[in-house]
Amino acid sequence: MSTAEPLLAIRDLRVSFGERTQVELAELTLGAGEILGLAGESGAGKSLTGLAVLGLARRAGATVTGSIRLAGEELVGAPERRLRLLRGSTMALIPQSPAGAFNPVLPVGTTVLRALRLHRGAGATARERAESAMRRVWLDPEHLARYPHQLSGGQLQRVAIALGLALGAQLLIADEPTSALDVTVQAEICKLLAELRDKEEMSVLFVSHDLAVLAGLCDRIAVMRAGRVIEARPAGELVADPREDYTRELLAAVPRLGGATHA
Amino acid sequence: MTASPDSPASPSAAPARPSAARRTLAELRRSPAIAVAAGLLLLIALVALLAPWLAPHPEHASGATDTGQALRPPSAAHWFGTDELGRDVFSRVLYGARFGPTIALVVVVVSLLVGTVVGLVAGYFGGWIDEILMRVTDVFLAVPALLLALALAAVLPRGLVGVTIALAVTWWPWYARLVRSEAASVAGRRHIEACRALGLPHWRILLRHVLPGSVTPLLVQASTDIGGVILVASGLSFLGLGAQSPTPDWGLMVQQSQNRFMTEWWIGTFPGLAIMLVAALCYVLGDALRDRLDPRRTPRL
Amino acid sequence: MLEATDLSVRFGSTVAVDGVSLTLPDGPSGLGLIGESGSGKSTVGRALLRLVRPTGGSVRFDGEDVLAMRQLRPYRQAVQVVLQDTEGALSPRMRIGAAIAEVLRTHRLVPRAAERDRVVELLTDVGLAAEHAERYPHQLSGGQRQRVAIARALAVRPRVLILDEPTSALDVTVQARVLDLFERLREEHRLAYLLISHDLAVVERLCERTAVMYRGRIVEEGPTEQVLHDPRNDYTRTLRDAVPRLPEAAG
Repeated sequence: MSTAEPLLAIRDLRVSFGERTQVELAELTLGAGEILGLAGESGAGKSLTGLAVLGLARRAGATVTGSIRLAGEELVGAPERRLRLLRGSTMALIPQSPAGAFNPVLPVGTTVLRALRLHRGAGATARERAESAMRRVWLDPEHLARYPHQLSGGQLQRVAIALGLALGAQLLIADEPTSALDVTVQAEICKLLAELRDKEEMSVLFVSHDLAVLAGLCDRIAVMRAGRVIEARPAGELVADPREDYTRELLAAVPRLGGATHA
Repeated sequence: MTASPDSPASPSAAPARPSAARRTLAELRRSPAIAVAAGLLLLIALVALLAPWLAPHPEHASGATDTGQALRPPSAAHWFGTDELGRDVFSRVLYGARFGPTIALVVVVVSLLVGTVVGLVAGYFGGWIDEILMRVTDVFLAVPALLLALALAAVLPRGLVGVTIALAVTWWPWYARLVRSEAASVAGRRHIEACRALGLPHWRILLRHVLPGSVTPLLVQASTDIGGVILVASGLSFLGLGAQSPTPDWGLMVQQSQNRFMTEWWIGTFPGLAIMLVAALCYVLGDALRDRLDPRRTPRL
Repeated sequence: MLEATDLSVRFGSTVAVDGVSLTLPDGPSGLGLIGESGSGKSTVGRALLRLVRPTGGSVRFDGEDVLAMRQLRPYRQAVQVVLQDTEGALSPRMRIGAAIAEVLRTHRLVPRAAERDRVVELLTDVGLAAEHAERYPHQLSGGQRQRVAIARALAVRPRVLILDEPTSALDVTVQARVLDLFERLREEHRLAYLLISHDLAVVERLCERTAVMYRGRIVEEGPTEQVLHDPRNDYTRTLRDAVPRLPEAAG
């Protein structure tokens, strides 16, 4: 990423509820076609950082100061209408539980198409966009006709990603997107995100408590503790040679299969 | 191993949660609507209690008449005027606070008890017990409440006891439904399963673990309902199925004055206003309680 | 000691558990039951606890038919459970001390006067302090709540502890410490664990033997070493290979 400005640039970000400052980030950037992992334990402020980027932290009652620039545009202090527009185009949220993101009494395709029409207009092309997005997440477009309960957790999560793609997102903000999924499904979602990065220059902010997942997927990992990034480096380096004691502690606590007989 | 091993996320300095009673009091202080409505209702209860001392003509509540003073409009001597038997309407309205509201209170308390037991058992045990209890409940709910109360009141001996029974029979199914849905949703939770695995007896699980979750919605519903019951009870009295003359029941007073409404408006208007006031206060209280106590409202940070 | 033979559980037309047999030896021991969501592993645990009625098969405890027991209390004392703490395995409106005392009282385990001491003893045993007895569940962290759930289960001095995803809702560092606790308690109280989990690494730490469930059946069972590192079954292999791993250098 040698271009002038990275896709996402966070500077001096402070998110606080009343007197309590929950996030205090000096600097964090994410380039196009990069997957950045935000690691840390519950309460470290990683999800809140994601919400701040999406412009949703303020709605949750937080005070946000500093600077978040997305493709050169300042998001902190931007009007709500503009943020809503961006959430439906440039960036998209991939939630932990996709079940909550889809109306249970509508086919998932209806939810997708409504979002597309809302943000992009154009009825006829909306369906085409949705169908092509489904193929990009390795799902048969026929799945659009299914109801949420007829899809598995992994399939539903892929539809959520497809929706982001169809809206033309360049940045996916994934908040523990695989924590509720089985390991085999988790592996599949990670593979999909990696492919989207490699083939489509997709950027992903991947929030997770699971360092093992992050290590396998991310280009860089930022470890958060008590609202601050204590260490942000390329994933391989960070895992192989952590600089901070806390990072070392986190890595040591990752449950691992013993023995050296790996597949 | 230290005393508090997983403490980073724990609010170890947090004060223990205050008791339910203390919490309710604190809520009251923060919500003027609750304080005002509850205060006025308390005042009305006090009036009911002290009616013999507050009423200028206590004898008019129990049959005494004064035909020489019949149909006087409101004045300094008779604030609410007098009726066709010369009875002081003000005195009778004060005494009336002893009937309608008391019936409503008894009806709601009895319905609460019956409904809660039925709802808890049905929701917690589920299966065929639930089926049977809820079908019975549905039968009661299928008939319009007023109609059912009317039919029952017509069959039962006339008077306050009859109305009370008729209303309680029509009212409990609503609580049974409410408690059942709460109980059924709690019954599936993990902590109830843990209790069962620990071998706790069913009654204990019901009382200590299932019921507490239903208390708030019940409280809210009950306070709203008192107003509704007063209206229906007054309606029954109005139709001649409730309190009997010379009981100074508000509904009955309105009924007995209906032919005179165009000429001697005061006889029916003041008891009518009393009914509306109490009913409205109960609604306000129930509504405000819902806003304050509903655990599903978003917590403030 | 605890033995299930050909256990089946059906919910309507869905077969959740289909002919599962497993044996828990006397403690200290551990049997892992792994599988993905919907595999039926939790239902097996609930059937063993008699929280759901099996539609077929038998459960025996010390040779006695569990499904035919009329008086469940002795069985409930012997076989206990610790559940995953997602939305709370503890009643939200009850203080910790009261929740533990309630169990002591139900099973008439200690005289009233000694109740408080026993509660403190149990809390200490799981690494909490006496003052935690006065707290409500929401005032504790996830790890602390899980310790309370363990203390509550230990209150009846069980011989078997069924652990259903006991650490999957916890942060990794907390999880590591709770696993340490499980390891210690297993030896000190001579407990037999049935550890139900999707997490292979957790099972490996606490169990000598492991069974893998897939679609209601056990597809592989054997010593944990062998099942995880030299699986005979394709599904077990898929499951193992999907586990995210840190590069070796990190160790």
